[in-house]
Amino acid sequence: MNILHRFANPTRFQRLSKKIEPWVLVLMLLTMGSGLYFALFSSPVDYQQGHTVRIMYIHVPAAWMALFCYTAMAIAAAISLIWKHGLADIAVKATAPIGAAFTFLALVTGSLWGKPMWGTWWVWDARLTSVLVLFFLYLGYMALRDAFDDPARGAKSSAILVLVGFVNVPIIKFSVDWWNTLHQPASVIRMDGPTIHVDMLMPLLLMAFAFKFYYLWVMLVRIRQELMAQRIRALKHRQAIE
Amino acid sequence: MSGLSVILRREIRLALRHSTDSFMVVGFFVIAVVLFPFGVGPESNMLARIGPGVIWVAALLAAMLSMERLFQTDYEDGSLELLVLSPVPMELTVCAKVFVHWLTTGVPLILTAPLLALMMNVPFEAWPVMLASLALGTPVLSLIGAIGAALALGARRGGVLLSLLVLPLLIPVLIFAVGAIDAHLMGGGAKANLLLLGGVLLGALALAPWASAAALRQAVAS
Amino acid sequence: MNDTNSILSMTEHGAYVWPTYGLAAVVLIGLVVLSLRALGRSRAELERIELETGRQRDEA
Repeated sequence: MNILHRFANPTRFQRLSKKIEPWVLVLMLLTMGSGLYFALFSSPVDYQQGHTVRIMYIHVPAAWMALFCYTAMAIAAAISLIWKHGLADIAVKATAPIGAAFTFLALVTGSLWGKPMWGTWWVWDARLTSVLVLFFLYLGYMALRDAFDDPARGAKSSAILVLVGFVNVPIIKFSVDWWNTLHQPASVIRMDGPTIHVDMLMPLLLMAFAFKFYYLWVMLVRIRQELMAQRIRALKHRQAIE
Repeated sequence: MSGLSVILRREIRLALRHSTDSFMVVGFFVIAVVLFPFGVGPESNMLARIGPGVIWVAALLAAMLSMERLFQTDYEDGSLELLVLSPVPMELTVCAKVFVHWLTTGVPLILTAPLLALMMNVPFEAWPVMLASLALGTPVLSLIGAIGAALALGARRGGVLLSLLVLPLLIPVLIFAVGAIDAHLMGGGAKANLLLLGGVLLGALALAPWASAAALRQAVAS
Repeated sequence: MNDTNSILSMTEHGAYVWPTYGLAAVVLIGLVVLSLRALGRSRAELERIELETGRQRDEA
């Protein structure tokens, strides 16, 4: 785990991050721009759904990010607990609001898609319910982290919570296969390959990459901010002693 | 094994000394259910329709109320540190505490449920399934609740925080338990839902002692 | 494929599509703004404190 510990050094990380961030930002803007262009203007209207299919280009990538962010948090939480890696722990804290935002978007855009499609804003099927639980897990993490006067205790306790909640992730992924209810089954990430038309697949993948770059960029910014906050706390502590 | 039995006996002794806790849990359970006829009207068909769900939600909330005290007193007077350091594995200690908690919380809820089923007009034929769902589900409440209690130990507003953390995780329990009762009433079998509930119980038995012990070691180390 | 006119009106479905993109923009841009502001505040405070502790050490 040498490579992990090399980047545990805050100064080295901040230097590296500042070099990477502009590139990530550029990539995000490029993919976002082209994704939006294809999503809103240059992609076909669906035979059955009409223009509402365009909601898919936000809803599906947001849902993917909701799961991706939580998985990233779980991996980082495990690393922080097992190897006592400070930067991994900060990465969890930095990712949480981003994951919560994407989960919120997935839920709301899902409702906005569901109303014209199936006539209902919400239904208690397995996938919607477990994504709602995912949203509560994100909020619970952020609440637990902040609930302690000792920041180290808050960090470790909330890391355990992330790992406990990880059982929800396979449930979300496979719920549409196990229970045949309202939400449609997987059409992109399947064993046989995607069943979706390439004209729709392209904006979908572009938006998916755009969201990934967004996540990476915002996470780097938030990690840098948290490293500074840590240093401020340490200096204040030293001030109080002297 | 003698270390574990000492711990078990201590937990039972403490529980008997604080027996009013069980009465408060049952009291809340009853009051919460009784509020519904006042709130939604006494029309018997409707009460029967929502009865299983109302009883189960009230059981969930009542169990959450009692969860905070699982580790709190030991944490405050220092006995938790001794328990962590003792030769008995922390995971087993957690099991002992959860078991006694279930005896003093879950079992009284199960025993009170028929009375509430009567008040909510739940048909007699559903009672066995309802009791089975409570028998399988209340241990899960104590197990998952223990994780929350351990994680939130020493936090500000620990009681509320614990509920916010644990209740979303308990949604599957609620779904399968009420699903079993409703399925039975509609003619289909309750077996599938009860089996799923049993599966959740096994999963909780595997996960909760380990996660709670890790969180408790955390709390003591700070 | 589709002319801009029909996109902007999008029949009755426009009422669902535009709020979707609008909400996504608000949430995602909002998060960026909050993060950058926190970064700016932390940087300002860090500079202030480093100045102070530097001064304290000089005075000591």
